[in-house]
Amino acid sequence: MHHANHFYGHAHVMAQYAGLGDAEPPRIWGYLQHGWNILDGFAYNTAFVDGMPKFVWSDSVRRRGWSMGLRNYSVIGSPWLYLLQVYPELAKPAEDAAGTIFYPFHGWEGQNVLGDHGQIVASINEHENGPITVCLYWNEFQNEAIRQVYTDAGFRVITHGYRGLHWRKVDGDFLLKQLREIRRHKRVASNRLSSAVLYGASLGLQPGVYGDPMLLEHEHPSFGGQARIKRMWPELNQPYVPLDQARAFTDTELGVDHLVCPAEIRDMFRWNSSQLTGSAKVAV
Amino acid sequence: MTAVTPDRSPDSTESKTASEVEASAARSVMIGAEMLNWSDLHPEDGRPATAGRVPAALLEPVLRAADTVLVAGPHSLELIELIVDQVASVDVLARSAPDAEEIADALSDRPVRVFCGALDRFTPEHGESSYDVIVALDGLPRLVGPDTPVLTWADALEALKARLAPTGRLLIAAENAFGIERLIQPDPTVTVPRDEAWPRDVAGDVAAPAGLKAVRTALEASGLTVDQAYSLYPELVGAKVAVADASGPLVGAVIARAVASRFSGPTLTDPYRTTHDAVAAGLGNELAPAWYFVIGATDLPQVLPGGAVPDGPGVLLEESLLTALRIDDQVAVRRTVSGYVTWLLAQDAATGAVASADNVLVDGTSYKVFADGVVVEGSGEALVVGQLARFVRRSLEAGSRQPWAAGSSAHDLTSRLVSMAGITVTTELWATVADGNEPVQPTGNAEQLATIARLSQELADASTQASWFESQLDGIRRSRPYRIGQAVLNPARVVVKRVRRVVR
Repeated sequence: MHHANHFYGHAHVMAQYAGLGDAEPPRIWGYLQHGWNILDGFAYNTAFVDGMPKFVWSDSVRRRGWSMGLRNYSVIGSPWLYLLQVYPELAKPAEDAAGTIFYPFHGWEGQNVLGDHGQIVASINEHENGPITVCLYWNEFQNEAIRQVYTDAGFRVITHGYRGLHWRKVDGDFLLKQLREIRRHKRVASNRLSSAVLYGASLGLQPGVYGDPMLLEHEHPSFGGQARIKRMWPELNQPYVPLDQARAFTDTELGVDHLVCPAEIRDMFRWNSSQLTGSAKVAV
Repeated sequence: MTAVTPDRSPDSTESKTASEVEASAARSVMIGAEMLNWSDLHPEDGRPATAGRVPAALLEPVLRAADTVLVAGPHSLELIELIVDQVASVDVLARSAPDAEEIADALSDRPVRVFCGALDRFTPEHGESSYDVIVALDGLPRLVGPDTPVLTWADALEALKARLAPTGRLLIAAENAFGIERLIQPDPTVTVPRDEAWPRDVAGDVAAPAGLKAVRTALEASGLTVDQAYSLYPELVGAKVAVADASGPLVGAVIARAVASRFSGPTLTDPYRTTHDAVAAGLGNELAPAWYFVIGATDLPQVLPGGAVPDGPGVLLEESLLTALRIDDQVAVRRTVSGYVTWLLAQDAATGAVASADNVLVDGTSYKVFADGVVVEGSGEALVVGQLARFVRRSLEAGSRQPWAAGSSAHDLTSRLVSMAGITVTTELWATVADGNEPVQPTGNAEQLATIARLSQELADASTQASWFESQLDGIRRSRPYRIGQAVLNPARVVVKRVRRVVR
């Protein structure tokens, strides 16, 4: 339906959970939220087709979206949570977990991030004392100059892969790689409250948000920006977020109470064998 | 037509002609203003006499063996017999001459006297000067006929009261001028007056005061103290249940069922839902179609007949589900459905068959069957599909909000609910649902409007989707990869065909 459904291998994760195996996932009948979102669950100006379902992580985005005229929401929780169901053995930090994984706020193919990565390094050094892994998004990782800033600081620099665009080059294991990487650390931090911080906190990592939040090119004001996030969740915008507060927040925003069973996913996504025209069929 | 004409079954008791009534050795006593060509026991264009288990259940604890009783107005022969069986003597006052004769005939060997005529002619020279019990469970209006031009309800009440012993017991019914039926059904008989609606005088037509409060006030104004009142549903003469207090979820469900079974034709609103919600809003007593008032007797049952309202904590599962649908709480729907299905699958066949959402009480995590229910066929997953399909059908008939596009069939919504319990509705499973493919008919006009609005929206959405998919196809056909593919593959196909032909 929409190529963003397949970002980060989300569709792959959902297909595995739904019992469709590891084959290329079929298209989803509707729109799947692809990142933590403080408005209606979707990127600004997403061109929705009337009546198509919108599958979102949390009830909060559904309520806001409805109030803004959007309909046909189903809250199902984040694909991340389904990944944890598919790989239950990975759903907690590793025994030899150490240090911090830091996610500098990322842009994408259409919007770059403007800011000083040197300042981020300074903030990290101010707040962290263990080994540091910095995870860059694909386009920043390919930028030698940006990578250099972090390697020069003595940090390990990685990327989880390419999230895909228009169904091409989707790394089906993106999220799994992220999970494997996150659970090797004890802390997760970023200069903005973002999906990755939620993912880490959901495994019990100590989360932190600090440093220059940087700017996103042409960031749309309807989202309210960083100011709104700080007003809504002041307790989460600090270098050491108390674990219980972090857990309550991630449970809500990732939609822990909204997880549905494989049969319902197949029904919602029109993935039952009679509804599928593609190669993947349900083994039920 | 009510007139009992000579050419119609002259040998049947209920159809005796006026002259036959006069000529026969009448066992009833004519007191004046009798209705010779009329029957309340066998009405042709009117309502039958009060009857059934509800008045019977009230009479039983009220009557005592030594009582002298006056039965005033149309009561079924069975009710009169029931009274006669329990007391010392019974006088009956009936306005219809054929009825009076029939009653006198039937009870000729019992201590029963039948007086035929209007209440205003029933003076102390007829019957006892005072009675231990007066039974007027049909109300007061049918105590008189066309020969009583003016009588107010208060005067009719006074006339009965005058014959009541100082410590006597009075059972009296009153109809509600604004009962639940006003919200449910446009009664054609209101606009097409029947024989019983003969012209009357505004100065007094024996109709009860309008509304529960007004009736109570009138009773008290006449010096009577109401010891117990009952709200009757779904109507006075065919009451199925009477309750001392028409409130609470279980009472609401029982009352709603009674009303729904009474109003089966075209309705303004869904009878079950309207009644249920009215009771839930605390209007169950005020909107009852009729009431019983008991004067002089206490310690009476709260529900008539006994056991009509099942005991138990909890609410009907259907209410939990509809509440969640109404506000689009999908988590609650999911939780409720999966808990119910787990329980349902563990039940024996007989229990599972009647364990529909509208017939199961849920209290936290415990479930139990509420009362008698409609049997849904099937076992295992087929039973789950059948029971949830029944709920979906009822919710669509009731015009409930649906969180998902529902179309006009119950299939997709049922599939969604069933999937919440981990079960996939296959073609084979769906085929086991008896009425699965029958179109859903919204119950009342209000539900029809809601359904039209919903379907219009869904139709507009589907149309937009069709256009969008077409534009996607168009985009693909115009795309370079598609055109290059066509340009290469079409000649290639021709070549392959020719080569094959040559090879053959």
